[in-house]
Parts: sequence; C-alpha cells; structure tokens
Amino acid sequence: MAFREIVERYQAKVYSIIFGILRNRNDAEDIAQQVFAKVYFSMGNFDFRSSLLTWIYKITVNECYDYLRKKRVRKLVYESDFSEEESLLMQNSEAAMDHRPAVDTQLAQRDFVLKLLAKVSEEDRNLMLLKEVEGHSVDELARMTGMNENTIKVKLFRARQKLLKAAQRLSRLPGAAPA
Amino acid sequence: MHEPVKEGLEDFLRENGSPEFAAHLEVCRECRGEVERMRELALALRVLRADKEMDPPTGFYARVAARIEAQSGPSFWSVFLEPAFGRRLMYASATLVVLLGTYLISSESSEPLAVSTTAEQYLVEENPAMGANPQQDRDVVLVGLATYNE
Ligand SMILES: [Zn+2]
Repeated sequence: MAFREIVERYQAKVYSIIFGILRNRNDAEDIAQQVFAKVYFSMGNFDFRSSLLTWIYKITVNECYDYLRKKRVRKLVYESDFSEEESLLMQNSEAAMDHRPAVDTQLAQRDFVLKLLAKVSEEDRNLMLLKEVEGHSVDELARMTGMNENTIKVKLFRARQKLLKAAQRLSRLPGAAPA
Repeated sequence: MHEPVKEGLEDFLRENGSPEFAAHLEVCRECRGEVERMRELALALRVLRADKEMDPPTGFYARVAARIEAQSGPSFWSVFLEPAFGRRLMYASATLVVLLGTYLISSESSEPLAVSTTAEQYLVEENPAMGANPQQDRDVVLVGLATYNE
C-alpha cells in the first residue's frame, strides 16, 4: 500500500480519535499530521503480527499523551473547543446559567479519565481505549493484536483493576473530579 | 474478585453475562461492588469517544507531505543537490553575477568593477582549469548551463 493510500484510508479515524481525546480541532490537525509523519518514518518498525490499524492507533494515542504531557491536562481542558450545541448554550447567557454545570462536569470527567489513563502502562491504556472507547470486542482485539482471547481477557481485567486503584488514589487528591 | 466472575467479566460488561455470573453476584457482595465499579469506569471512559467519525480539513495529505519534507532534514535535499548538480547550480549563479557585472560595467563605465572580478576569482578558485582563457571559460560555463537546463 502506498503511503498516500494509508493516509487517505486512516485520516478520518486518526483525526476522530484525537478529537475524541482532546476536543480541539487545531490540535487534532497538528497531532494527526505528526502521527502520519511518525508512520512514514517508522514504517520499518511495523510488526506484522498486529494490524496496521492497531499500530497506527498506538502511535495516535502516544502522540496525544505526548501532547498532554507537554501542555498539562488541566490547562488543556480550558482550551478545548465545544460542540456547536455547547457553544450555542454558552452564547445564550440564560441558557449558559442553566447548562454550564453540565458542560463543566463533562470537561472535568474527561480531565479525570485522561489523568487516570496516564497512570497505567501504554499497553493497558491502549487496550482499554480500544475496548471501551472504540468498542472492539475481545475476539476483535485478539485478532488485532495477534494475542489469544484469554490473554486479552486477563490483560483487560488487570488494566481495569489498575485503573480502579488509580481512580481511588486520584479521588483522594484535592481538586480531583470523581469519574 | 472470585474466579467465575473474573472469567465472565468481559461478557457481563458487554451484554450482562451468563445466569451463573448473575447468580454469583446475587450472593457475593464483594464481587458485586467491584463489578459495579468496573462498569462505572468503563462508562466513564466513553467520554473520550468522538460523537462521529470526521475528516480533517481538505488538503490534509499535502500538509502531511510538507511536514515529512520539513522533518527529513539535509538528507532530503542531498538527493536533489548531489555534488555535480550543486556545482552546476553554483556556476550558473556565479555566471549570472558575472553577466550582470559586465552589463553594469559596459552600461556605466569602462572601468572594471569589483563585483565582476570577485565573481571571476570565485570561478577560478572553484575550478582550477578555468581562468586561463576567458573565451574557453565562457564555453565551459555555457556547457554547464546547458547541461543544467537539460
Ligand atoms: Zn465473589
């Protein structure tokens, strides 16, 4: 497959994953470009046991976390752009008074989840995102990663436990929002 | 968490699981609590899900290509500016300076100007074979330019 085909086939997927995580269009574009530059330069490292999508997904999430590390999660939350619906609510001051807490709660929840995922390994984070955010089943994950279903189940279970422990620790910190 | 629950957890989180799984949760408070927390966590993660798949703004591939080019560093340019090509380009630029200098001299004064002398010296330094015969030198430069244009 030519590089251009790879970009065209996966650009919407990559852009949407990044936007889902960061909710900022400018940053999504910038990070998506960087993802494909990484794909281009590290094509030689691609391990054919996993699918191309899984590999690109891993690079995408890593780039997002790289970005978050540089920018810090808390600052990012206030720079996120809102959906059209949310923006309309914000523009209408009366509506904003009514709905602002809901928007803030969602932002705080995203912030919390991102922090939580930063506390586990790259593999755990990617597996959990592929399972819960992308909605892949255990057997799909097995095919995508080249591991067997039982291994996936065990890994998911451990990842869930680690995330719960991290959630308990984070919730005890001042200013942390519960998941 | 007890073994049967551990094993059936993924099915439960996906589609409520087997009757055995449910039966165990009925009688085991410990597993019930942990499974509930895991279910809440799974739901919380969905806040990162994009509402719909969307394309980046048009021209995305061109911007990716430009970024790759920018990140490729000197090795990218060395492909184009391999020594022979680079030398020809240098001679071509130097010739332009000479021609411009000559034009300025002939149009303004009969005195040779520093600019043309410098450019000629430059050519001599870069190519020891040049400088002995001005007519021959011009031919060399013209051949260089013609090859460059090809
Ligand atoms: Zn139990």
